[in-house]
Amino acid sequence: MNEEQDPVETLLARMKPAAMSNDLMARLTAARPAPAAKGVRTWDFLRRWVTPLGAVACVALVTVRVLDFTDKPVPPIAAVSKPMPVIVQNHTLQAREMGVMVGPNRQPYQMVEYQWVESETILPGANAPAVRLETTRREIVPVQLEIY
Amino acid sequence: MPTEPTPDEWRQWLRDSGPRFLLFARQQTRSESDAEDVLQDALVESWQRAGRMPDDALVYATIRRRAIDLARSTDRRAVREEGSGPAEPWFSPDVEERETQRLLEEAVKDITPIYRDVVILKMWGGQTFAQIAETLGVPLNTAASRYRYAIEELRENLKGVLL
Repeated sequence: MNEEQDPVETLLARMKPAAMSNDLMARLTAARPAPAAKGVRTWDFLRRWVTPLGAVACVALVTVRVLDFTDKPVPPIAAVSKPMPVIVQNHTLQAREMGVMVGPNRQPYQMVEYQWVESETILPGANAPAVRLETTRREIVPVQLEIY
Repeated sequence: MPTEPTPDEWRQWLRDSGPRFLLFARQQTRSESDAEDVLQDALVESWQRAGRMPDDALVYATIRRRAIDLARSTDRRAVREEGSGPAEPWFSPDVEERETQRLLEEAVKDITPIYRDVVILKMWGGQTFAQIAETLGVPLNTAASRYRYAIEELRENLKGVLL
């Protein structure tokens, strides 16, 4: 079926887009996508192949070194040094009631916040002086309440 | 493997298709310099993405996306230049029909912009409605309707002048 063309479309069809100016043509001609420079391709090759191969070589070298190292006898730690005697003491600083909560078993619990100092004393050895470490600790402990 | 165009190939492509692409770029931008910037970026990007001479549809879609990006990044400047409009003629002057041509060009410029995009792609871009719909990101029926509305607007504006 031959459809008669709309007179408006006929008019439009007679028009052609304006040619580009010489300046624009020159600018676009200069913008032609150029092939990558040879140096860039060489670098791409290096990046693509040599770097991963180098990484694999490093891993292999480290593995060999580790295997070599594990073959050698290692002196047991106990033979090098004896454990030093330590005394641990706890001193309560505070016990504070925070409130009552009902547990999953329907029992009431008093929540108590405890603060204490944990004191560790490493006794002096043959060549080492005594060392004392103190750490303040805090814990909230549920204490079940009696129901009469 | 992607290939870059030879100088002759590139020049021939610009000569054959450049004017159509530029006409569309002008619709998508608010100044002649923006249209030229967008056109250059889109031509290079399209060729590189296709790895060969790209389909027209890809170029039109790239022009549109680049123009949207540019408008977002330079919104203030674009708004300032909006009123001036491109000074370059959109169509080739025809010596015998100079007056008719001028009236037609004015009429085309007066079409509602979203309808005009479709006419430009259809009449001078050689695109199907399906391709136009994809380029503009609208449903196929919308693209066809916009074309019809554009033709009706033109008919109304040219009544008693050229029709």
